Amino acid sequence: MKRDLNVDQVLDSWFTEGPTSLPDRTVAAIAEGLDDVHQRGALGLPGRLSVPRFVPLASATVVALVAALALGVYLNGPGIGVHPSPSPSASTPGSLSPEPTTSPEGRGGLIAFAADSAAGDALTDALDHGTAEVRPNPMDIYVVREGQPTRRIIATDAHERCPSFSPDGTLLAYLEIPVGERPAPSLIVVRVDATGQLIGDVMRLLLPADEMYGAGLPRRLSDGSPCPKWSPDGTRLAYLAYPLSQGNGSSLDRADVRVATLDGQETILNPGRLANVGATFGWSANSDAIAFASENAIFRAPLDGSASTLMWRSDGTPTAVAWSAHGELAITVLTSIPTDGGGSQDVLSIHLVDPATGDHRQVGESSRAAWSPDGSVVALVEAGKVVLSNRDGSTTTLSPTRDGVEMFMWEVEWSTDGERLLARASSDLGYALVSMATTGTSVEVLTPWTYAMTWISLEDVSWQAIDAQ
Amino acid sequence: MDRDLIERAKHGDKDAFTSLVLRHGDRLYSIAFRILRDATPAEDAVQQTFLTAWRELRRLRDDDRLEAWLYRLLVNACFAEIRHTRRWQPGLRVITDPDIGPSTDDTQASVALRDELERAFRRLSGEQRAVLAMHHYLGLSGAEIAQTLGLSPGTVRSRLHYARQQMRAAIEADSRLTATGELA
Repeated sequence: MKRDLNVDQVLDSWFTEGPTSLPDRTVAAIAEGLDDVHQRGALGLPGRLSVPRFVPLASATVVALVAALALGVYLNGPGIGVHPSPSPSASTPGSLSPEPTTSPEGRGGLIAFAADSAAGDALTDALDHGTAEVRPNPMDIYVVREGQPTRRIIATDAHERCPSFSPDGTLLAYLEIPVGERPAPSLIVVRVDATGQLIGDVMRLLLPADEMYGAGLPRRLSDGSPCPKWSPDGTRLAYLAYPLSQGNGSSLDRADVRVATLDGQETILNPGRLANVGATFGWSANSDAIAFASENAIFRAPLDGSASTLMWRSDGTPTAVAWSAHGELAITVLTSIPTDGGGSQDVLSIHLVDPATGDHRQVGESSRAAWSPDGSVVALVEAGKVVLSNRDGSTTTLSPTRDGVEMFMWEVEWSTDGERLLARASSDLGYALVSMATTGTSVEVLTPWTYAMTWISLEDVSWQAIDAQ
Repeated sequence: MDRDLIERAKHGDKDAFTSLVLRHGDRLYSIAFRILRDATPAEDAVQQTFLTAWRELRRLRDDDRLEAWLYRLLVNACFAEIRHTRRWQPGLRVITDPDIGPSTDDTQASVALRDELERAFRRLSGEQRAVLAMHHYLGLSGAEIAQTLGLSPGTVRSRLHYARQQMRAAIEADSRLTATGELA
């Protein structure tokens, strides 16, 4: 490569580097997948992506799973060549209504979520997929209640992300990320009522731009950071922030765990130990510590600022941790497994760990796990189905349907009372938020199906306490 | 030739569609890799693109637009990859795949420059990466990119301008490091 400051020459040269041939295994996987994908319009069947993952597999379950995020690819677990397509529960293929299910009164607490404005438009006027996704617009915050239509409650020229209701449901925290060359996110807290109406002043926990861009690199909250999380007692918000200068940019690889009170006082919790950037973290039930991922281990960072202590060491890289009311950890671990071809395959698996006893068990392969509010059940998604794993080791698999059509689930979360589950689902019509009873029944489609919702993650969704106000 | 294959594929001929995969796969994979900078998600994006194309092929009204249509589907798939990767990837990393790693005559400085370019590129948004790759790798003009992705030419120019600024900063930063002997 020429060392020439002419940008065009350098970039032209740089872009020529890299592979130019599609691996045979991918061609084979595509050819194999055609059998499981109905052509839209053919035989009057809905088009549905339901394909096997790469054969002996180049990619990890989760990598491929998420790789398929935008367009809904059905995957198998490792070591299994082909999974059958999920079959509709009805003998005759059903069809989903493009509109959400509604009832006059509405039910339950508000659900807040972030979506770009293309998605927002699609909430009332569905866009063709292939259109919305290539036009990511500033993200706004919307609310929806089971049985009622979606409303946009916060919309500015900036991106609003990570809406999160306080445990009592009276406050809503979110990130405001200006659109521009140097987005400096602010953490904002607003008071909100049970209808989603904002009340009173905005509390802006400002993050100074001069610290954030000390050397041209993000130093504080980043638009790629995991979403801030409320402490269970509702007095603090925790978040990951890039530390101040580490010299040559390596700080982008690690972050501080920080906690802010509502009066803007900030504390760095993990002196001497940095967290994995992008890895989500969890609060202890009594709000006195945070569990976070650093290198290949999970550490406990006490709120008093004392040294972090080791909770669990993994063979892989932890990418998420959730702490239950019983003190158990649900940890997502990324592991690279060598393949026969000399490459490696990444796998994301969920591990339940009791730090008090050292007990450990793996409960499945998934990118995310969520504890029920009482800590008795962990919910995850495997191969498009919701799996509920109880503390005694028993599991229940849910295959929720609506109008006779099975939906592919991507992520799952609990309502604050533990009575309902919230999932991001895909179908022939696109993506939508759906809720259901913990038996997989009583399925409610909360938002219109649209491919503009492709990018929404449950990290950007929060369910208000039902008895708020 | 494509037209015949497309028409047959539209009528459910899988062999014809596989021929289209073989015809366009390398190109799409090359672009996906250059947007994602990683082989595995690039393969996933291409797989996803073709399976979507198979499902939606009957909606392709102008067979001559197949390639542009595939590009658009591919870019969408790459965006989804990037968005997710930013969520869980523990950190940036330098590509070490032997197929794409430094050549044997690389100097330490050129490796450092690659590292800077990789880091700068990974900080770009998916939209910026896509227009940069389509411009510098495919050699498409701003207008052609706009037409392919369904964007306004102004939007493409803006994204290209910002992306190039960021990459220029990376190149210049690397140059300063070299000039001050930090790589020695």
